[in-house]
Amino acid sequence: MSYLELVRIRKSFGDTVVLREITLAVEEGETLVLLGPSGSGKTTLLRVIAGFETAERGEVLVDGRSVGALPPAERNFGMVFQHYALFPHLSVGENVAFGLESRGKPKEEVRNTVERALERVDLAGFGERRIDAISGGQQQRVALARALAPEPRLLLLDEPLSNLDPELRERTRQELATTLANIGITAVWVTHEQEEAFDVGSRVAVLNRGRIEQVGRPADLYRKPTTPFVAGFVGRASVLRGRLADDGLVEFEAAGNVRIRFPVTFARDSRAAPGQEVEVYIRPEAWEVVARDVPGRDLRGAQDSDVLVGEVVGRRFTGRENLVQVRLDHGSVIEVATERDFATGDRLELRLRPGSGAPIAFPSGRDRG
Amino acid sequence: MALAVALTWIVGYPLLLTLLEALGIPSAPTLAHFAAFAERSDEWLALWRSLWISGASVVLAAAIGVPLAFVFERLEFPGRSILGGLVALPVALPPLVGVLAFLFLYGESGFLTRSVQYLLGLDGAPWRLRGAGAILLVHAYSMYVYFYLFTRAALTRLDPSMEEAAASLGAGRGTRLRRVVLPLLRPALAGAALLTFMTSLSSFSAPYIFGGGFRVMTTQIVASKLNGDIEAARVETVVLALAAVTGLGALLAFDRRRVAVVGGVRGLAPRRRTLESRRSRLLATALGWTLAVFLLLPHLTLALVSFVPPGTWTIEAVPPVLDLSNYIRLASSVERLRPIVNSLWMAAVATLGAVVIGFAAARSAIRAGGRMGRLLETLVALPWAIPGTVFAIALATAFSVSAPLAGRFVLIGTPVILPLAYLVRSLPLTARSAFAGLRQFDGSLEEAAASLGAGRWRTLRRVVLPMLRPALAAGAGLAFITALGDFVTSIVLYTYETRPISIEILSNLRLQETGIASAYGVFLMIASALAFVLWSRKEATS
Repeated sequence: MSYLELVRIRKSFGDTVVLREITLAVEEGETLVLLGPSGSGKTTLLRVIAGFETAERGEVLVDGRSVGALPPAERNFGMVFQHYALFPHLSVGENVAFGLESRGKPKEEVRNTVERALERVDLAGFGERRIDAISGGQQQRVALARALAPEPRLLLLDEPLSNLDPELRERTRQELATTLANIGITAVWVTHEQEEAFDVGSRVAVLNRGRIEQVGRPADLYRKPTTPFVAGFVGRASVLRGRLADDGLVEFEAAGNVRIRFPVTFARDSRAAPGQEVEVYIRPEAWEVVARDVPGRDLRGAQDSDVLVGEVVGRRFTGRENLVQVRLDHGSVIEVATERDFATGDRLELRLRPGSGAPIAFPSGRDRG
Repeated sequence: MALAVALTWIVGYPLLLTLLEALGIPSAPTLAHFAAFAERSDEWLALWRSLWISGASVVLAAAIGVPLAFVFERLEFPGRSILGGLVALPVALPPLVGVLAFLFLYGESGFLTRSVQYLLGLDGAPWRLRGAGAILLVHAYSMYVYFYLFTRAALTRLDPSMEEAAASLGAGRGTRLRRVVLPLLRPALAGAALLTFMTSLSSFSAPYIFGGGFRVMTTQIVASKLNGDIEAARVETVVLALAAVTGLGALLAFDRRRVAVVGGVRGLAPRRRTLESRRSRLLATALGWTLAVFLLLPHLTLALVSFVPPGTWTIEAVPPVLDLSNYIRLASSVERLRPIVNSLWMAAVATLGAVVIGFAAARSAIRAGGRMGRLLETLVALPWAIPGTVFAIALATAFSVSAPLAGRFVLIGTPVILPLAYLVRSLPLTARSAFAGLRQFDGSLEEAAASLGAGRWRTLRRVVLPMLRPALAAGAGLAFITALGDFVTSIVLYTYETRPISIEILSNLRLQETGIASAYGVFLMIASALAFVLWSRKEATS
């Protein structure tokens, strides 16, 4: 049995269904990330767990017991809010002490616990400061210290880093993840940023339109997406439409009568029949540039091959590599990661990098969200 | 729900009862009282006077307030910020104090009148402070503050790039003012105009003291009531209430539009123009100070008169003797201290009640939303639009009968009725600030408290109330000032035992005890100014 279990949770606001039959399990001590675009229902799900929203159906179980009947104040869940929700009229120390005092802890214990909690987030000696007299990063840590001080049985984090500037965000998320791991607390962390999700989550649940698309370890979500939405939302991918041939390879119509053919793997639970149209999701790093400057090459009469030809239409440098947009001769635009430098107008020959594994394919026409 | 019932009982019910009884319902339904109203020319005259006095007050108040706002918002000169605050002071003073101060300055035996008479060597007073002119003078003097404050606030919010854009398109200063600034100020000006109109419609002190035979609706109502013609008083009350409600409707419609207009404009205040040349700076400073002295002169006079022992100031231009005898006489007599004690405790109780009910109503209204929310909001706002005289008559009507099943008790003549009346009258002020505070309040703070194990009561006590304290204090300060200086409802509902300061001022005036009357006035002035200063500081830090 898992520590936190969500069973068939359903929630709607008016006519809009926000959560449809959400079932999810979180193991003791793990950080589970709810990842999804805005409007996917991830924050609502977090608020249902916290008790700020009431689900129409379904149950939230902690340690096998339903918490549905408990008001938020009695659930003993810590929460870090998106804008921190620090009490501006209380000092840093008083903020951290608030939860302890709510539970009627004796003064001496409150003082000691507050001190330890502030030490843990590297804010020893900040107890007397006013909330508006500390930086955004420090406020974020106060919010964490305040949520953790009463030793909650579950920690909920609602986009805890979205208020920090990008540079600070990356560092803070490492620190935060380490702190959570050290304490060994069970945590549910909401974010819309894939990089953040992969960095902090032992497992990630991808939400889309109120449904859980896939739950898994970051590497599995990336390499073995089970739905087209996950394949497209997690990481970058270009989509090619082709047809499944009798021998199991996927064929693409290229210029002239040339057919490009290469192998694909189908995601779990999805198969296509020969002749059916499929969509293939290809990561930028799966491409290999075989040759450059290939204008005027006469393709008439050429044999079927696994090489695609296209023209560079755009590029950007990410710091690690070049991401090059290539318009293939049969029309679609793909994204290629390469260490080499190309200029707009260059014509390239591309193929799938050997050893990168066959790309994921899904039968066309499925609901992709 | 219980709250809505309670509010309806003290706010809506008395008004309804007054309307029904004016129509003779339920005993003998009749329109006779209204017909009698329609036949009497003096009633129509009073209504007409109420309306034109209000209209003229708007024009005069705008003529003073708007230029003043431009001077203080757009020019930089020594003393600007202090004077800018002083100029807004009349808004914090009870109307009766203003009227009293005017009487002692410009009245027949007023300070200025005597000085002019003395200087010109005249036999009698050079003018008489009576009738429409006197009323308008007092109105313009006290109500320009609405135009001043609204215009200044709007000018602060005005996006300076608008004017710069106009200038870059070749518009000169006059064109910019006419084509850009004034149209953008229109919502603020309309708001101030309506506020002035409503205040002037319900104004009582000035017409009562200076009107003489010049009756407006409010004084007409009180005269009918004092003459024992309660039917006529009720009909007059209904008519005045209808005029006021029409005004409120216009104000609410406008309020909705204003949100849309102002919400879109955000920017820095335009730079103040520092007067470059030494001469123009001196001129502005001198003008500013002269103006401030002129505006504060009535109150300074009131203070002066309070130091004049009885019977010592007869024909001289300047009082020959000044001492503390009025204050000593006031402080050494239990009967004279009584009104102060009365006013203080009644205002305190009313304020406390108004803050609690106002806050509860605002919180329930925001929580409930929808129809219930709007009902609560309307109920607490209603006493603001309804003239005090109307409410006094309505409360007198509702609570002079013992019918517990109909929710009516005899409260007239008991110490309960005045605090209740003050409470109802203060409700819009406390509720308004509670609404403003709660609307800005970040709901996630309450959720944070809940996630930290705090129950409802602890969240309210430790998070919501401390954070709303500035807003609630602002409302409480205004409510206290209003209740402490109330004259218009008191004159209808007081008893000798519960007589408040304003009533005592009036009776001292009748006894020619101007010194004692002024001493009471000075007390009201200081108490109100203290509450005002305390309030504005609270607001500045919030």
